[in-house]
Amino acid sequence: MLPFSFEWIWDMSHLVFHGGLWYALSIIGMGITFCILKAAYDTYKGKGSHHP
Amino acid sequence: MDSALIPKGVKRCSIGQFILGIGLVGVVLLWGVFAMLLCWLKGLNQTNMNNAYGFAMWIWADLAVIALGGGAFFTGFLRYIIGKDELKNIINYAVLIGFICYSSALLILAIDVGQPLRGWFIFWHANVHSMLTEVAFCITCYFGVLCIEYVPLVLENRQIDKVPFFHNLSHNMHEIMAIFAATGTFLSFFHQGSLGGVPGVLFGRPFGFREGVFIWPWTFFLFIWSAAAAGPCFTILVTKITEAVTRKKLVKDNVIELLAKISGWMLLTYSIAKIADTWQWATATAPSKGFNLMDFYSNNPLYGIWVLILEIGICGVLPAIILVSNKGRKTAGALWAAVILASLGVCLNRWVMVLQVLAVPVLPFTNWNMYAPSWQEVATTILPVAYGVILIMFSYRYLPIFPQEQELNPVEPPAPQEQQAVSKPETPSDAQEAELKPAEA
Amino acid sequence: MQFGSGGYLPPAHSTFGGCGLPHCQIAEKQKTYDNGSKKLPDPSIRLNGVNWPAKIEDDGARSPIENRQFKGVLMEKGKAKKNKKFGMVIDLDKCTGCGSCMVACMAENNVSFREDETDKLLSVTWMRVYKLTNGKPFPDSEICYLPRPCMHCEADHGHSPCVSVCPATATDYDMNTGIVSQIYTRCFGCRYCMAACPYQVRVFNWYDPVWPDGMEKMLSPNVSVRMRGVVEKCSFCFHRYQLAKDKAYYEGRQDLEEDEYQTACTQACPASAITFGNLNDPDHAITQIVRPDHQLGGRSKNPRAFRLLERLGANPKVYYLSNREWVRHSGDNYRPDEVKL
Repeated sequence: MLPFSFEWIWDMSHLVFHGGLWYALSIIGMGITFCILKAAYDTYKGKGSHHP
Repeated sequence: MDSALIPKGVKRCSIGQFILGIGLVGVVLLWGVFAMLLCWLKGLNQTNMNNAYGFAMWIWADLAVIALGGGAFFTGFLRYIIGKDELKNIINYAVLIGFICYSSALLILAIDVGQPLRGWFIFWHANVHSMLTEVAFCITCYFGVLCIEYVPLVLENRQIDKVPFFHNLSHNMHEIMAIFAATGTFLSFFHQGSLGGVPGVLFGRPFGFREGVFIWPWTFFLFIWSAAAAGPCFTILVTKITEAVTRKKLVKDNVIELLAKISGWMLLTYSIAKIADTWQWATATAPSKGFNLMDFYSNNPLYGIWVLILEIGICGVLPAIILVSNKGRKTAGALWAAVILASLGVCLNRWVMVLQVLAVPVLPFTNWNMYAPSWQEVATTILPVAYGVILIMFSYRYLPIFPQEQELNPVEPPAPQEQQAVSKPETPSDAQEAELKPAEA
Repeated sequence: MQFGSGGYLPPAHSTFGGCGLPHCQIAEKQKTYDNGSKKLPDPSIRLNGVNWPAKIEDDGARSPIENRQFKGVLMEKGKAKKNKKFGMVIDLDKCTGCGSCMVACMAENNVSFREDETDKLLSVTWMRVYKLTNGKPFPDSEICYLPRPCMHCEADHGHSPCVSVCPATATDYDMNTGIVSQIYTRCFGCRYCMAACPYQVRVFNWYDPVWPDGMEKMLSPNVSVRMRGVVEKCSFCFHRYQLAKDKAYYEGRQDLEEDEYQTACTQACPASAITFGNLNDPDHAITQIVRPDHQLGGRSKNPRAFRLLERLGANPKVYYLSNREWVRHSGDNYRPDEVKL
């Protein structure tokens, strides 16, 4: 799964498979981080506080 | 008692009735949990699997629920990527059904492996050439995406939404949902396909083995296609069942018909592709290994040629014809029949591609392997169904799952003192103002 | 670390049953060298952070990554040598179906059993003897017994049916020996390999391995006992290969004699129906009997020989011999229009 686990080989199969995996994980991770940080920022700015 | 948690402008059953319903389904759930604990504590000797039948009911259930849950990724794809805006009225429910299906699949997988505590090896010691590795990675990641898609719904609960941070978080997540949906579609393509690859790459099993393109057998593409076709049918089916149980119309006909039409065309093209694949397999692939088509459908007590006819003809072509025709979609009975048949068809396909693959004798001096599940296997397979019903009950009661429910089921005018708070707004801006009034007060 | 009359005995923690991690294997090797032996490895070659003994040309006890590293060492020294390819040939005309091979296999490899073994599909059996009949009525009826170990399929570049599907790399094709390994401590029991194997050689531990009181003392220390919930299979008695290699190394030899590494079933067969050896060594009896055509995936040039399910393309390394055509015909599937009997 990670380059330091011993099954890891720097070949095309690993690069394609794990490239796709980490690409997807990065998008999910960055997306959710962005949402949380922006929500915290928005809350700090008082946005949504008037909401019932 | 729990009216503060129920979305505004909709009517729900009494709390007593709700608890009774939860209790009844809960008994089934507990039965499944008991069987699950037996399997974990005593091992897989609690099942009727054996050395000839290493894959059985659980793997079928996994493949089936993932195919049925395909409605989530495909509806999301249509809604966010293709831009079919009407589908926003059913996407919440599609996501919820997908969430239930995928969490169920993960649970069943956790019961199915011989050493559940080593389950993480599939990630850590990943063999990238194994279809199962791809399945595990993509299902887990896609389940994460489904959580992300489901969380905003939970955050829209009346009380949770009052917390500014959660309100903002829900809003922000909705804003970039297209990105998550695109990622989910990417992941779904691969894990649906990899599930098809699971039997397709077994060159030692002529019943399952298929040729293909590059590293992908034809089953890889057929599984994606069938999930995209039958998944939305299952979404429609569950929506219709929910409407029948609640005795309310929850989604407008034009939304259902649009999804049914797309699903119908997917199913029709899938059926043509499946027929072509079966023809190629029956006339070239299997004969090259020494088998005739009827070798797979004779000399056993269960698997006859009727399986093939039922799967492709009755549960494939027939519902496809109903769904692509305008009249079929608009006739309630025909629509019901079509979505039931399509859902059954994809389940039958998964059964065949898991259990019949192992049932067919490959060594010439061995016989057919027949299998019937133990009660523990049945209970643990029903467990996710009970869990799904409970989650739907909670979600329907406390979350705004169906955006059109309020419009389709106007609540009778409330008592004068409550009228202002719950009156149905005319426009979105009015709605916002109506929502704001209690806070202002 | 044990020393007996037979020389160095490696611990049970080996490729078969050990964790399979290179550091474990290297640590074991280094312990051996540190044990007062004068045959210390030449530390002059250092590649990928590992000291490789310069004199060893071939050693099967390596993980895939080690194999690649080791090949690099050999290439560097210009000593690349043809890999071994262990296989087996079973003369079905000699086999009496006595079951000695099954018993020897169970005893040698600590194969567990239960009190009630009536359901053979739940049994753990590495070597299984099938009974074949020609289906004709008396007096033309004939029977044949067919012992079936793991076929150690080679397919394309070690792309055995089971190896490529294992999601956790718990089974591997060793390019140096041609043996398909199973790492019990890494198997998490998904059973995909069992579904992939057309020969049904892979068995699952449905129950905890329990031996009658006192019998556990008779277990071999060279083979790991498997736990409930993992898959196991015939290893061609790989621990015997390790023992033989260690002994040879201790005695300063590079290669093994043919009789130094033989499987338990081979030695137990009273009819001498089983022959085991290196299919890449023309001096070995198996090669002379089978005459494998390596251009055709090891297909035998001997008209008496056949392999099970040859048409599937798994290229098994277990061959069978028979003078009887119906027996040879029983090894594969044929459409009615192909049947010539």
